[in-house]
Amino acid sequence: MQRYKLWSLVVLLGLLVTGPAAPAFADQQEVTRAETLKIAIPAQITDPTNLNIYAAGSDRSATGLHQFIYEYFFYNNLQTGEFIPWLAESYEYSTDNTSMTVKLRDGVTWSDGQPFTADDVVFTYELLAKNPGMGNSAEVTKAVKSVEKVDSLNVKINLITGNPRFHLNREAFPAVGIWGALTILPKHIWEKEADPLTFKNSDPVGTGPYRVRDASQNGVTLERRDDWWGTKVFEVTPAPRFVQFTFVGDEQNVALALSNNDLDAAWIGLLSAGTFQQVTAQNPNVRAWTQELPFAWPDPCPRGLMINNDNPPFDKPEVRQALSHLIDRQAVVDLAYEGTTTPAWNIWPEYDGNIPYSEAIADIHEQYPIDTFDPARAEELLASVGLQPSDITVRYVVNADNVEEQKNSQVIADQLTAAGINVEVQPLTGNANADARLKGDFDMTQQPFCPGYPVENLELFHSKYYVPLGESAPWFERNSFRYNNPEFDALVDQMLALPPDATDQILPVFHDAMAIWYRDLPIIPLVETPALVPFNFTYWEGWPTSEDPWNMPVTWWATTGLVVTGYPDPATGEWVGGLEPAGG
Amino acid sequence: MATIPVEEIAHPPVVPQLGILTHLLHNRKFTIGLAVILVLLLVSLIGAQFVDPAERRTGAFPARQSPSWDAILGTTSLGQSVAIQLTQAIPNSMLVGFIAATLGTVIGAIIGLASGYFGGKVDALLRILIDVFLSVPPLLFLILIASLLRGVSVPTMALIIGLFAWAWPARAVRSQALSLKERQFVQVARLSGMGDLEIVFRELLPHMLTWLGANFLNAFITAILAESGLSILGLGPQRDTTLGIMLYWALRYGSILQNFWWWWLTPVILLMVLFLALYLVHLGLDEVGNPRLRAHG
Repeated sequence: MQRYKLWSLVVLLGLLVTGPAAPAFADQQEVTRAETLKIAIPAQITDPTNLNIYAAGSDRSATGLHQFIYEYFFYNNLQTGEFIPWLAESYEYSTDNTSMTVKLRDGVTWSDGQPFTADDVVFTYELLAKNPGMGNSAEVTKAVKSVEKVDSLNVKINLITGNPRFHLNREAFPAVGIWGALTILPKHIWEKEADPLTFKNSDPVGTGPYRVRDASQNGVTLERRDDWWGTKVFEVTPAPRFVQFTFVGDEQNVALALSNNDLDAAWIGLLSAGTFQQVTAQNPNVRAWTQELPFAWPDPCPRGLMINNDNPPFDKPEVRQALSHLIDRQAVVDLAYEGTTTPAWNIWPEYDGNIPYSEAIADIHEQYPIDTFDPARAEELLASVGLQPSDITVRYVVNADNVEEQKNSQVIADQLTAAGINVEVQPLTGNANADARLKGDFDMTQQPFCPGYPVENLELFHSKYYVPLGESAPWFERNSFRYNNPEFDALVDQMLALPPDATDQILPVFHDAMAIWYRDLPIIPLVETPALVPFNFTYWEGWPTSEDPWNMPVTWWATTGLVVTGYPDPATGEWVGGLEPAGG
Repeated sequence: MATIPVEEIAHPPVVPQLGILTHLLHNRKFTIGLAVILVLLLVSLIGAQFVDPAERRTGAFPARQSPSWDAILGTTSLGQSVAIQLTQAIPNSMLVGFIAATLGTVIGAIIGLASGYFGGKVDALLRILIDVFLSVPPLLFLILIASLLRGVSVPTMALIIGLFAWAWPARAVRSQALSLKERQFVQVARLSGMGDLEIVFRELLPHMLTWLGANFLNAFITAILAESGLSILGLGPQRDTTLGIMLYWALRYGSILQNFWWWWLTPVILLMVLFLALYLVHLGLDEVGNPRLRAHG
């Protein structure tokens, strides 16, 4: 009885808190629960009519665009190490790595029935090259010289410099590692549009297994396409008839909805460990990657604090190092993450494949122990450039839609304040938040550092991504912090010219580059990232878990498409994974 | 022409000026309400003197603890003592109420008096202004302003709320001024050579003081409520603590679901106690100021 009362109170308060944002389900009534995969998103969708994946102000992930509407040449399963061919069958570099030929899969069609061909690929690259305002455009211009059609199923991508790692460059090549990748557009639709930036694309034509049924600020409903090419080619039909991305409110609303089986999964960062345990106590069908602590899957993008290298006094390495020494990372882990992660001293995940990279720079870490909490050292560093803690005011931009960032900001702001530094926390949401970061309108702000491959993560610090304050950087961690060091660039270029498996040749250069990186400390490493993603087994099973680690437990990356459908094993061709109706 | 009764020419018998404080102090509702407010304020202000700034920080206490001797009102999930947070939250919430209510009442009185007493074009203009501010929903504007100014401080918050709190008192004062200025004692004052300002402040204003006092308390309550409402929406001062902000973090960090009742219940109860106390003072003031109620009370 008491519990019943408490829950009514919870519901009542929940309603009060989210009153104005209560989802409007009226238009989604025919969608039956048992046929629907429901995923909680962290915030409302600013403009649900804008489904132009390349336009500013569109949301490629909370709308399901890159998970289910569009598809990509390859998907990189970081969990198994497989590079899975999807829209493409294979790629091959020329001997000097200055070009790459991609063989497309036969039988792929767009959702309006038109075939997917080399023409679409050539068209997309040319469109991006011609329109610098489109997302990915900057990256394409920097890496790609031209794209040629060999025949309808073969395209040749000519690169500006020899690059044996081009297939890992998700911003310039349609291969998903983490998050998303460059998206190929249907030529026959987009060539009719005069301005690809203002085109809203509200009813997008993609190759993916779902189409948009309706979209509102509170969420997007996708409906399965029975004419999906994969059903013919792979003889596979994705199990959920509908996929809903839905905004139910903040942490406690997500928890309630999961407990009541109103959700099947949620975004990363929506549930803290404590709340998650309450959910699993209420609903034993809900679990995450592991059954016990830490629950979370190690996300490939460690969290760091971007420091604005163009804003005095943060342009001085000593100041950035001092800030780093003032952060007690273990306290951040214990308080904000409830012990579900570990402090970080570098910017890649501690996966087995990355350990040689961490070991190769152990001596540098010893020279610059930037992750040790050492206020005395911080004061020395500040004094060496003639500053006192009270001379420094940090404008700390925080995404107010992200509980993880809010918690970290409370702990970190307190730690810096304790040392005498003035901290102004500025909470921002939506486009204002994205704008402030990209345009460098901050002193400090938290950011995931992706893709989490050691060499590619160093490329983020290359000055080819440097733009002056006030202009939008190509991407958040692609140098929104405005680091600019030609000496460092040269070493990164050397590494990028080596194939990804040439570790012996890469490591010495890597060592030199990291020596500069730690000396300059352009950003402050914070913690490894726990991806605590709840999966509900009530309606759907087959979710990836630590006992069945067939894929990465993601809902917000493009790879989520493959979590739902499964994929053919690149070695054997046998079908792997995919969701199925529970008990079916 | 009727003769003017002597009583009306003589100075107005509005409030027995000397006895008002005695009356108030004898009014149980007023004294209880005031005592509760003063106790809350004093306990938190004095308590704050004994708090080491380091104890206010996240991680100063073990996190997620239910009430115990070490943290009498328990701790938050970021390891802050709820009791220590209160020593800042209560004075800050009262500060918001005080600034906003003062601002609203003073601006309201001035605009209302000017509009009612001077009439004509001044009145027409001010009446439009009052009507505009009365007809727009203030919370909507407060949300808009607060979201534009993300990262506001406690006094800024109070100023914003205060700027929307003057329209009601202005209208009420205006109507009273309209009626009072036709009364004979005002005409006598004018005939005796008093200036407009003198008449407004020495003849009209004293009649409205009890009403303004009651309005002040009302505005006080409304302002604290508005601040809490904005804070719960995440638009409050982030690096400071008020009762509303305490509630925001408690809700934001899932305290209800995780059964950290001490975390969310404490600011809720204190807000209720504070409202009740202010309401009692308001009732007391009303009884004293309104002789009819006083007779029965």
